Amino acid sequence: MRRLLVTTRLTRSRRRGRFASAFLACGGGLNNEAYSRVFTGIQNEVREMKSIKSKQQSAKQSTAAKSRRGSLMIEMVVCTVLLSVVSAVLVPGIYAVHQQRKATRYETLTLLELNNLAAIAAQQGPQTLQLSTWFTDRYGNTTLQVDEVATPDSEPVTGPPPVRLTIINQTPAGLPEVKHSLVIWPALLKTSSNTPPEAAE
Amino acid sequence: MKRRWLPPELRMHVTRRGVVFHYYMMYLFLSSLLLTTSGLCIHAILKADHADAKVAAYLQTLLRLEGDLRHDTSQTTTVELQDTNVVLNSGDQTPSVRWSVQDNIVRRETVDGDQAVSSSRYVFARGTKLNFTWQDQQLVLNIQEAPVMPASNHGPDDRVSTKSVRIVTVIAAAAAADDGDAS
Repeated sequence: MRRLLVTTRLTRSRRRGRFASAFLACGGGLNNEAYSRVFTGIQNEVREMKSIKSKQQSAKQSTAAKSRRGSLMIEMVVCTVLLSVVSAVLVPGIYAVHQQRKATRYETLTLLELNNLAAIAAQQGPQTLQLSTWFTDRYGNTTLQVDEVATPDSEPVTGPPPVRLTIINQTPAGLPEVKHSLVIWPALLKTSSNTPPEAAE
Repeated sequence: MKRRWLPPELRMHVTRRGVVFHYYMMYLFLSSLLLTTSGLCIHAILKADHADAKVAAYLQTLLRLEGDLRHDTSQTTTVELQDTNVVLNSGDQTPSVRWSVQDNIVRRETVDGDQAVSSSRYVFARGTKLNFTWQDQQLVLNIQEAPVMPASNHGPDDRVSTKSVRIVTVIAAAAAADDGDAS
């Protein structure tokens, strides 16, 4: 009966192989003293295993607690990085689109104003030209420059020389000026008034 | 939740399952922050694209109108101003061109006698004010742009924009049949 009990306990415990092998090595014939020695050893071994197991569990819990405490910080950092990347990509893009739209509008309205000035110059002459109020209200840092265009000697121009109208947009320091020009050919305007002036730039 | 059926020495080793409530709240807050930012970014992109398309359409209409008006006035010999119409006659044999303004739309019609041969429209944004002016042999089309942010306490007719565009065309050989403003 004792042998059976010991065998059962031995089979229930997983890591009692050496005691079981010692028990079997002596043929299973143990007296009370030997049995108590073996059984005490088994009990000590079980206690030791329990203590090891509890230590492992506490270590696991502390690791989990540590990782749980740190996971929130990692998530916040990841979210912040994602938001920063999205902002860093989108804000310059939207700003560039806005600037491009402003530049396109400025170019179109400048071309319109140059055509108006060309029409007025064909009627009144280029001496009295000045920028319109609607244009200077929009773009206050623009100036008008009227120059005579030098013609080559091989192609003499009869009548008054051609005139170049240039609208200069003063940009902030460090950037080149934005210039849009239109050349008016008075001879062409006189001979055929339906020919629009040709944009030089 | 404590498992009371366990012996006391094992209760402390029970692994906690699930997430604490304030963790759920933090996850919810962070995800909502991320989604809100994404929505704002998409909204900003779409808004910029929409504004870009509107400006492009406006400038395209403006350039088309300017080209056609200059082409018509370059062949004009006489100008007739009516209420909101400007009729440009280039001769007895050729059909005349009638430019009319209706709210934010400029209409160009080629008229042969009383019959319209062809017509085209130049549609601006709602709220744009247009009028023709004739002075000193200059036919001027004033385009007052619609305000971007109209005042809430004003009606749609009271909206005033300070930004305007003028298209000046000179009709050197023209004689106006009716001097004055056509608004």
